[in-house]
Amino acid sequence: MSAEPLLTVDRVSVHFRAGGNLLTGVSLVRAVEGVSFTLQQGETLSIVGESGSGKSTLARAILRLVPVTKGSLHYRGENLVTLSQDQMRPRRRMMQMVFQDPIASLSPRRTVEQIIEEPLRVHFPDLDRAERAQRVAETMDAIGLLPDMRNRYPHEFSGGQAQRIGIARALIVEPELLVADEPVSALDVSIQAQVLNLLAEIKQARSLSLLFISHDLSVVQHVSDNLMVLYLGHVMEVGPAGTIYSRPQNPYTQALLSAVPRMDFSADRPKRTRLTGDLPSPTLEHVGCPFASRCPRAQALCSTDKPVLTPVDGREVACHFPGS
Amino acid sequence: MTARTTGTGQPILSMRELVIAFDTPDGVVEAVNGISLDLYPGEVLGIVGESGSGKSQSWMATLGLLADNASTQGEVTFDGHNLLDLDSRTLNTIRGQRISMVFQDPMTSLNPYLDIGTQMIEALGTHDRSLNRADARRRCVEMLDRVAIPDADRRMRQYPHELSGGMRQRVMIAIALLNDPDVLIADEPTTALDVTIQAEILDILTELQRERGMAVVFITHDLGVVAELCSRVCVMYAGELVEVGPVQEVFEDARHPYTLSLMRATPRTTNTGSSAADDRAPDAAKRAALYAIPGAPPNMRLRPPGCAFEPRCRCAEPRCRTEAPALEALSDQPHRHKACFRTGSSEDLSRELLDVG
Repeated sequence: MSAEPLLTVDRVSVHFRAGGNLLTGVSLVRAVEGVSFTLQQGETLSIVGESGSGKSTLARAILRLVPVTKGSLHYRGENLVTLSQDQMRPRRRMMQMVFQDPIASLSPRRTVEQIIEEPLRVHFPDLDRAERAQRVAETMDAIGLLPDMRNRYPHEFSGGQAQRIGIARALIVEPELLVADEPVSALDVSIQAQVLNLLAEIKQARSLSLLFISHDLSVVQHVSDNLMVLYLGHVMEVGPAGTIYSRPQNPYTQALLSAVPRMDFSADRPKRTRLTGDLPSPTLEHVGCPFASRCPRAQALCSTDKPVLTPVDGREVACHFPGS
Repeated sequence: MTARTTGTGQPILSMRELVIAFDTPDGVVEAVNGISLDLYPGEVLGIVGESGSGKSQSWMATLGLLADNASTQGEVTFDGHNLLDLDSRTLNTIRGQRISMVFQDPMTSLNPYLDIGTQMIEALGTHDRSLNRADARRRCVEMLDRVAIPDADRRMRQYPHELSGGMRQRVMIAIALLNDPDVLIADEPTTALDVTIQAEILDILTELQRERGMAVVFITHDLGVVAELCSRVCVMYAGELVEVGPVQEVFEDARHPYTLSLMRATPRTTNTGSSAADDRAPDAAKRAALYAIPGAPPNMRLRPPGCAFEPRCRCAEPRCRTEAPALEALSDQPHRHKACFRTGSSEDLSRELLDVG
């Protein structure tokens, strides 16, 4: 793990101008605020958070699908933020994305073969038709799609099969980094397991790096090496997944983990930390900790000083009063 | 044939041989295939299954809420009436008053043009004409308080879009409970919510259920929610009940291969321990794969002649392909039921599931 990271994200912020009306004027949504992390080759980092945590925006910002307001993104040492979209295009081959809604993310008018082949036409224009067909066939086989599905259309497939098509489309250009945004949230449990196992297999076989965006902590625990917990665009806790799951230090992480319904009937099942109140507006600029308004452990300091990520017990925590 | 429970006394609602079919341009689709089930007063009954298992439709039928192309057979008995045959006027004296329902997406149930107070008073008024407006208003505010909506008086004057998803779902629960129903049917009420908000809503539902002693039917795809909330569970697959019994017994000692498969396919958050040894486990590459149930659920127009789960079942025998097993009591635990020819223990079946492939 001492090698140069594949991806270094340094104090990245993403702000949007949003809505506004005659009375309030335009407001600034602070979707991502000063997020930093590194991703090694072959590593799976999961980014978890609830709605409004900025997890999807962060994923899109990393691929430069939304503009980065502040900070830098170094991919193999090169700062992507300073590249133009034209300069960015060849780099995109290395970083592919898998989306949440498998059927909506596939063009309804194209056959499976045309969908999977499309990125090849963009990134490998020199390949001839036979070579492309060969690559499509190989990729389909590796993903568990049968050859006779080539000429069918997305609506003929179940959610699980459609997600395989989405994964095949991402993998055909042999990326190094796969960004998967809630890839199994729309799938039934039995199908979800098929897709999660598939992701684990191809990640292993191709030594892919995976950014796995999810709201589902059980799924995340199953796939992650490392884990990053976001709240209102801020990193609350980041580190090895096992360490965080077994001894969460940030009160928000604790609340999140304890809220997951479990098939556990033992008497010593962890007690739920009950949160009160709603998520504050994402347009607020926080002087203190963004979680202070709902935190069971908050003190005066928390609303006046923003905690910074500090190493605690094998991971980093942004909290003035960490502890389990 | 009927699944009974630890539940006490007479059932409050009984389904008998309920069949629901939809007439579609591609032919008739049988969504629910003859289920029989009793709901007892004061119990929390979980209905789990994946998309298309019929878990929602069977309860929509109860309230006459099926789509126009649906047809039903069988009986759903409540208070001496067969709800499937009732005219809409009589059904309206039951619906929303004695049996209420909460849906997944509160935005589709609330009227966006009316403030919360107007909608709540209307729900009360439809069912209780003896109330004057001031009393009605007071009862609504009290109800909003009960579902932990802060500043209830002000909320009464707000519109649905001004509330967060969690708040809207609380309003829906408040409306459903205004008339103190005997039965609350909750169809994936927390599926669209964040997990911390879901936890709050589940706590509120549990409290209200205990306080009022109503029966709750909780429809969900989430086994964890069932484990936390319900006393008894019905597992559905392809429009049929495959296993029914007390939640803890079913989850700790499942006897139907589908129940077992579903449990093995569900990623779990393992217990948060406290020793440093826990850190060693998670090397994602070495982590055990989830059990992926092979194949996909059957096409409901071409239901297999035998057990509907047989094509995906690793415990199947030759007769499973030709003969459909009925829901029957377990020989060693007559209060539990399953629809499967195999008689093995949970361990034996698990071994067969996981050994092959």
